[in-house]
Amino acid sequence: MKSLIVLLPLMILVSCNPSTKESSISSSQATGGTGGGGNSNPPPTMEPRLTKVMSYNQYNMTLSKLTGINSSRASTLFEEIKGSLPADTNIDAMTSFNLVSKTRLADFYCGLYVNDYLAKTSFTNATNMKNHLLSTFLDYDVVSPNPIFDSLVTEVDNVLANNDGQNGKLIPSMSLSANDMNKNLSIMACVTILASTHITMIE
Amino acid sequence: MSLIYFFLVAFSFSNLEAQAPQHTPRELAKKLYVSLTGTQPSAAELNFLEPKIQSGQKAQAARDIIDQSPPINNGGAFYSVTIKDWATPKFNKQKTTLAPLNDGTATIIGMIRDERAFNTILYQDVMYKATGVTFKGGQLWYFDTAYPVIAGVTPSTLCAGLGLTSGQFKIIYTVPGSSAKACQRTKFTQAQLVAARDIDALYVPHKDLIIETNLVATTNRHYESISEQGLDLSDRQLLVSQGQGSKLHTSPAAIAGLLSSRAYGSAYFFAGTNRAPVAYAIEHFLCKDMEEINDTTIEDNRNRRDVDRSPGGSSTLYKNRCVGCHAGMDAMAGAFAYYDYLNGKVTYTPGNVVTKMNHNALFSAGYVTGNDSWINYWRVGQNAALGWSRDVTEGIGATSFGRMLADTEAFHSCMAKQAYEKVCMKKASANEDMARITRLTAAYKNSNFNMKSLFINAAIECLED
Repeated sequence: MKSLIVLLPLMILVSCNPSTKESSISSSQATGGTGGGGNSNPPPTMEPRLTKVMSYNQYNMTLSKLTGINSSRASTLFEEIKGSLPADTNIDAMTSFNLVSKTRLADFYCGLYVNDYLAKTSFTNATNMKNHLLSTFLDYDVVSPNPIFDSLVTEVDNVLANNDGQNGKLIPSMSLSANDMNKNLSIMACVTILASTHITMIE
Repeated sequence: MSLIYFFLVAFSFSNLEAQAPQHTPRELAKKLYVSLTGTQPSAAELNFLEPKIQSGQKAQAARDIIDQSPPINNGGAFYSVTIKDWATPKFNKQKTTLAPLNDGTATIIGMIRDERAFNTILYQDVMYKATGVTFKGGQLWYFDTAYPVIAGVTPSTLCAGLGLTSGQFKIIYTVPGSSAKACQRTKFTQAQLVAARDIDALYVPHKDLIIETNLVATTNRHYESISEQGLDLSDRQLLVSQGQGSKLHTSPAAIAGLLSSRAYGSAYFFAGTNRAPVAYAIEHFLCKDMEEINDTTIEDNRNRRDVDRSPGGSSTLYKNRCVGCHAGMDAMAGAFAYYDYLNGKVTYTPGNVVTKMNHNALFSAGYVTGNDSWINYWRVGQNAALGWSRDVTEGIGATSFGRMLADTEAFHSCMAKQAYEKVCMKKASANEDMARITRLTAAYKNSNFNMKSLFINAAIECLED
């Protein structure tokens, strides 16, 4: 229950990420690839390679690879939820359950990853943590970042600042120590990246 | 004026549509990586691959991704994700990828990893499983400093320098293929070692791990254990080619590559009438389902007694529909007359046709299976297009049946189509797809049926789509 409370605002953040699904659909409509409707263009000679969604196996392996956490450490959770992760790469078959399960799995890997990382390197500031996470998980150049990551970077900044993006707090401070707060926010920032479309979608 | 403007706009849009999407070498490197492994590359991996793509070395870049040339490290995802997901649906009727690793998928992975001729996979004596030393059979002992001598071996001379502390155990084992002894410090506790010995587990020295149960003929735990431990399936010391004779079958005549694997048997020999192994072999390895090869023009003298000749009181339905599949399928299914799947094990009873082949005698004049002979009636008519070779019209047992399937043109083009659809992540439907598959099939045959090369070529074919 506790983890669900943490995951729900994260899911909203993740779902707000600019989706390449939308762009792929609009581009396929523009080329007359799907739908038809009032479009009078002739059908393409070959189905365009549309954006796909990572299947359960691909996503689990990706999380394992990017975090360096052996998939065996997540095997109990993975076996429990793999039926609710996407069975294949067909984006049209994707459901909200898939998103919940992807976020749960990312949360598990991120918990291990951030704990391991903070055990070796102390948390200095949010900017360092943001740059570390982004450059570890994505093809992200800290010096000259690609603008396609702008929206994600803003969300990661918000998470690490404990800002839900609507002038509220993601985690009420309550009795958490500064260390625990930083750790939890770092885990949430990690999930924001690993459950984002930059990772879960295949172009 | 407005007409000119209209044409200018129309031209500019049509020009946009005609252009193929332009990708930078870095984007292509990422696409290639994702296509082959299903995982996202790191920046360091892209830095390594980008110049290769830029200089036109796409095939080399693909091999680097698969073989994990440093700094690439994806845990063997090409095998444990892409190939496993491709192979797994072949071993269950639901065609789901959600099933665990099994001897069939492991064998496909091993054959592709080792670049062995894939056209032998339906009849060759091959099975991939983990290798190591078994606890049973006197090959492996364990002890700590409380056990100074085991079976005449003095630990102080064999295992000097291991530096055991209290509670740590060393394993002494006979090196496979020799009488020499080797020893190794292990992380396992005495309780874990006792439990492993009791289930005849496999100890893998180079990984210092225990893979549950070595009894692959009766349980799938061996392969599930490999999956659960997240092991790198590209590790050549882990999955090793072995014959089926030592582990699965006592009769050499039973061995027919994937068709005699435990996974195939559990899916298609269990219950039923043993027609399923034929129908699913044609579907998975020739890419044709029964509807597509339905041919009502061939003779039906091998149709068994359980096929109703007048379903619902109408012989027309039988003649116009049922016979189209049964005539060919029943004639081939004799190949599996001695196979069954009982108590978690593929059984083979040479000389004794399994009961299910001849039960439910709805039509007493129907064919009674008396041995494991089979006939291919689909060599003529519409299904001649499957490209049967060697003029094989009939045979004995599953081995020759598997060989006949693997020698068809349809088998080769089916493998090319499946590889293309897998790594390009789309259904092949357009003429251009078919032209690509034709090219891939030709290259596959010229490469001595190398499936790894086929997957690489397929990924490159659609890389710039």
